Amino acid sequence: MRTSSTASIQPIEDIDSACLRALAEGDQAAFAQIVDRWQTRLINFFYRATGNRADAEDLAQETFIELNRAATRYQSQGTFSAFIFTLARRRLIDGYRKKARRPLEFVDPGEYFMQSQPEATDHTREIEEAFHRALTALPDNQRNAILMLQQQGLSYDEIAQALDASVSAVKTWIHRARTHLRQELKDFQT
Amino acid sequence: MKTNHNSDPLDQTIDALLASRPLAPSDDFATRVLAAAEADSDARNSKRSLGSLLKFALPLAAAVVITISLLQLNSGSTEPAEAAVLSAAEAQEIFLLEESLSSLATVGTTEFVTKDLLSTLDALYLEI
Repeated sequence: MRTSSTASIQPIEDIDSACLRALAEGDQAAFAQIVDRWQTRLINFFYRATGNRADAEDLAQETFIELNRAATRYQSQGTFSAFIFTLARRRLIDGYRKKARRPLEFVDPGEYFMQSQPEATDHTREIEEAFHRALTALPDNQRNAILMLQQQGLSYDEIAQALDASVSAVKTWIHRARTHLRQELKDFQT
Repeated sequence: MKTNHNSDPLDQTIDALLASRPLAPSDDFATRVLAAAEADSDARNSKRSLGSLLKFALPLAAAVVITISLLQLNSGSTEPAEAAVLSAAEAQEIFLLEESLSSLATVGTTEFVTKDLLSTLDALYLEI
């Protein structure tokens, strides 16, 4: 009987997937590790979309709770990054729906910037404000795609999975987003 | 963080802004998340136990309701006979009324017949 040498090779599981499996078996310490590793990434992802610390932290918390619930049904067909950002995108959509049902809170870009970098110079603050305005003006798919690529370091395949789209659509969104950002920030070209 | 390694300063600025993570989580963020997740798990567990309880309780309750309904149906089985007796009495009453009315109709004619009058009185007597 001929045996395949590749049959015995197990794919190397990333640490987060391993933690999620441990969590599914009831290990709460594994969940704490995931929260510790991902909190800054998730909060900043949501922060760029909402421009508000409280909303960003609320959405990040909801994503972690959803992750805790989903641990038992996690299938590592894709990467953990794609999985957690799929949940994050859903939370963001839910967040927009909730916002639509209640009056919008005005977020002053100046306040937004004060929250993030209080010690920055006027010029840097100006760029940051313009960037924030340009980013929030983008359609959701374009903003999420470019943030996942450049802020979160996801691959095109992972972004496509997280956004439930094709890779070519993701590339188009990112190209359009970058074109829009360049257009909006062209006055700051030195 | 991915960058395009573009020499254009504007692209570099955009890359830097996109890659930045300006916000640090609140000091108690992780603690809040863990507490919320634990509360959520507890709530789901209690729901699950209630669900498993209902899984047994609901068929049992349904069986009790069906049994009670059947018992009521059996105890109330004499009612149709009573209803039949009543309807027979009503039918008789209707018949007598019809008879008396038809007799009265003939009284109105120019030719007064004794037989008709007697039968009318007879019918009215029975009715009374």
